[in-house]
Amino acid sequence: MTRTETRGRIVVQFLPRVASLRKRGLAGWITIIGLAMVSAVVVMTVAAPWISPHDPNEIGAGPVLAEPSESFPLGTNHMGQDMLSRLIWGGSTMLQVAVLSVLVCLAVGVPVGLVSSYAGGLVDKSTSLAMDSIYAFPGLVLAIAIAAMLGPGVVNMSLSIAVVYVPSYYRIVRSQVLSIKELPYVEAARTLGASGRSTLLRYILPNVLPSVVAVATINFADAILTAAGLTFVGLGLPISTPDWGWDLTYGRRLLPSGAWWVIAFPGLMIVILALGFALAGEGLSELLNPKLEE
Amino acid sequence: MLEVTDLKKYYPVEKGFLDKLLASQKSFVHAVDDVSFSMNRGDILGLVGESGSGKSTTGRLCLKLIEPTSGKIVFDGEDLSKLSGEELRKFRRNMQLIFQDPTASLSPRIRVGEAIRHALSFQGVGTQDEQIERTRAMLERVGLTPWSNFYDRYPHQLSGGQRQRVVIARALVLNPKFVVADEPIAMVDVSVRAQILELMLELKKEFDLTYLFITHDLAMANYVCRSIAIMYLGKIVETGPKEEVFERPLHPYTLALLSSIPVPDPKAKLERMIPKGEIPSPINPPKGCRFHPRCPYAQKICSEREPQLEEIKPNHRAACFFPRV
Amino acid sequence: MEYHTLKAVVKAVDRVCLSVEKGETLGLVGESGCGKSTLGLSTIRLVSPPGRIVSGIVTLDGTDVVNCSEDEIRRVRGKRVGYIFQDPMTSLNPVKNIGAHFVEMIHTHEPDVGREDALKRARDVLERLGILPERIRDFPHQFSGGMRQRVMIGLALALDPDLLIADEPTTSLDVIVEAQIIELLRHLKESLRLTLVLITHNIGIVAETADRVAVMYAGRLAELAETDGLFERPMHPYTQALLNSVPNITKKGQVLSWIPGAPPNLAEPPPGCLFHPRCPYAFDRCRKEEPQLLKHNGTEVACHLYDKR
Repeated sequence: MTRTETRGRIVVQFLPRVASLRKRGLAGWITIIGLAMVSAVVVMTVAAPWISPHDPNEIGAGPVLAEPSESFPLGTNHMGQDMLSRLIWGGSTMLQVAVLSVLVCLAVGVPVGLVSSYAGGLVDKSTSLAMDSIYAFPGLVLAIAIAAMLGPGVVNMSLSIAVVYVPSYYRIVRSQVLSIKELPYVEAARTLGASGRSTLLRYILPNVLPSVVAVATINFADAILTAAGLTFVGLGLPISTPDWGWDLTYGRRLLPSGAWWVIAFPGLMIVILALGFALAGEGLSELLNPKLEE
Repeated sequence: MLEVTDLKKYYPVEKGFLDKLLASQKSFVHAVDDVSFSMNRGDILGLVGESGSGKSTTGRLCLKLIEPTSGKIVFDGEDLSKLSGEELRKFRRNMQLIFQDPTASLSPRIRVGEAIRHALSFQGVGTQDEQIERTRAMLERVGLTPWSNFYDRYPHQLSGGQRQRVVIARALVLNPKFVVADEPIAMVDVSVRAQILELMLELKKEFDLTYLFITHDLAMANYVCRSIAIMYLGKIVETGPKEEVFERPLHPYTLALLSSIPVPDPKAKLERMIPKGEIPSPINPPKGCRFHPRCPYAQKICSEREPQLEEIKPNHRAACFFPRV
Repeated sequence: MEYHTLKAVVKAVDRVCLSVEKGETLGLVGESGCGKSTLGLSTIRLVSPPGRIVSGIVTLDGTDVVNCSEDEIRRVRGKRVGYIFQDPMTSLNPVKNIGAHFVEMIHTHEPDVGREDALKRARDVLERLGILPERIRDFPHQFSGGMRQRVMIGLALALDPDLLIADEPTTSLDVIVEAQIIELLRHLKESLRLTLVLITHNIGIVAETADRVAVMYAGRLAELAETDGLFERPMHPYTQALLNSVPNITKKGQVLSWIPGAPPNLAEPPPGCLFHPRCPYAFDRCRKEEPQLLKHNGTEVACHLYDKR
């Protein structure tokens, strides 16, 4: 079995189980709620071209700093841009960044963690040292530094966030591998004549995955908040892109003049998205555990 | 079939930084110390001892799952120390291990049928379909019938006894010649143990296997094995046919073990010799005979010289200066 | 008592009636999951949720243990009932030395006993158990497994309890150490005239130490008899099968048998007698009606074979 095959099997097993979530009691409901929140945002973002009443970048679409009204349900900002349209469009970059950074983290953190901890010795020690150094930095500060270096853009932003969080994946994979390595079933694989590669892929990786998924889903929430932070300080995205983070920056400045709607709604959306991922993550880690498959 | 000579396995004791500075020499855990024995094809040898005796380590050394510190293991004419890498990997199909803990020795995320099939796939035996066929047959052979009820199950969906059967199936599907069974029934319910043992004996006849049983349970060893080797603190202290060792034990430690077994018969009168104290640390084993501090028959020489394993009665060896004849 | 889980009510222990006389040793035997540990814990209300005691009476020399207050039950635990837990590794506090364990134990129940007095008592108990009194200042990790178990026994005895419950006291120990501990318990039984409930899955230990034996299966009492009687004439089919499946090294040419199948899932128990799916003598009544524990020839058995009503 190749690695993709293993992953494929896991996905296939997961789908039928969504339906049985309700039976799981509290954990199931949390997952459903989380997934619902995330899906709502995703659907809204995908449907943006069709449902957005105005062009989010259109300056002067309405009166400046208008309160929420019938024609502008979420009000307008200081440039007369419709907040509702900005809200609908704003999630797009955030989601892209979140997904991309998590993917990069998975692609880098997991294999490096697996190989490093399985090999042990000097390789392991030096990699851990490198990872720990990165981990020691406060996340947002590091992200800002890297984003400032790389310049704006969705890809660059994702990369800066990914760098910050790769050590988390590495560490959890490593701690799992170190304990699983000593378990009898890994010894059993060796006894049967499994090569190192087979042992890693078929015996160790599948047992490490649940914790990786747990980290990944919480990481989505982290990535979103960090991304918002980056755009809040003005890094990462060109000004013309509608983004909740931008709106937070402006919204903050506009608060003293009483325009609460500019900061409130994007802020709320960020919370919903991050919370949704966090909740879904809670339940997902339980789902992927075959011990509960009954 | 198997010949082990002067096998040693020492583990260095990890010392803290300060200890490294202050202590003069390294200390070692003498897990296995100069162990020698041999087995013929078709033997069932019971390697009996308490914890720290080195029996599990010896078993794994025989399968080259651990590297010996020194000593020679010759299996079917092959010197195991000369094998490594790919050659060793392929050689493993001849010798397998049945594990103690049926739950921990099966990956919780691999279905039971697949776990067995992996044995064949790792060794490149047959096509995938052939492997599946053989796995199904093996499932039925160990009593998990019909195979369709079990092939796709996960380990946690089976009972302890069933899981152990899967472990046995996995070990035997490759048709190995030599099987080391490390406490195969210790973690199985009492009422099911005999069933697993019977299965192992049947399979022995059918596949012409040679077993090395590692256990601390003398009653079980008595039931299943033909010859016994008693280990204490890394050394073999007595070997011989089962009847001899259990009915006319020579070494005081064997006598102690036999007296300590709880017998499920309130009327049984046993000659009891329960030694004082506990097994000393294998890092600094006692000088001379390792059992002497606890031996009620010890004399001066026992603390000075180490007794060697000598044939005291035909085919019955003991390492003791004053065997209980 | 019952366990209420999310799935269903699991009757971990059902309708068990036992009594222990002063100075007697009762062996409580069964395989894993039969409820013997739960029974032991419930005598001093130590069962943790989701388990709870649903009904029943446990009286200790007249005191109702089930319904008394928290204060009262705390006074019972330790002082009147000593409990030896299964795993000495995790039952001792690694950051306290042995003396501190004893002092804490004694102070909880007899607060006016001075520290010096408490330590003296501890030393006396340890000496009686074969541990050098100086070791009172040592920490748990400095003791070997067998010694730790002796310390546990010492702690249980420190307050001179009326009843001692030992839950699998030798399971994690080597054979020879196990024999030493059993010897010790037998010795204490005689010198202190201890009342002991010995919970174990090892029938051999019970044969050597117990006066009476209670056999449990799936939360119910299968048989309750004097030790000699139980081994010579086991009545309940489960007891018979269990005895036949344990290797006896003194018996030559023994043929071991086993019990097919597995213990029932207590969340979905079979109707009638819980043992009937595995019983070679099961007949119609067994499938419908749960047997009562009835007296028969000096033993108490829960089996329709002996119920002539």
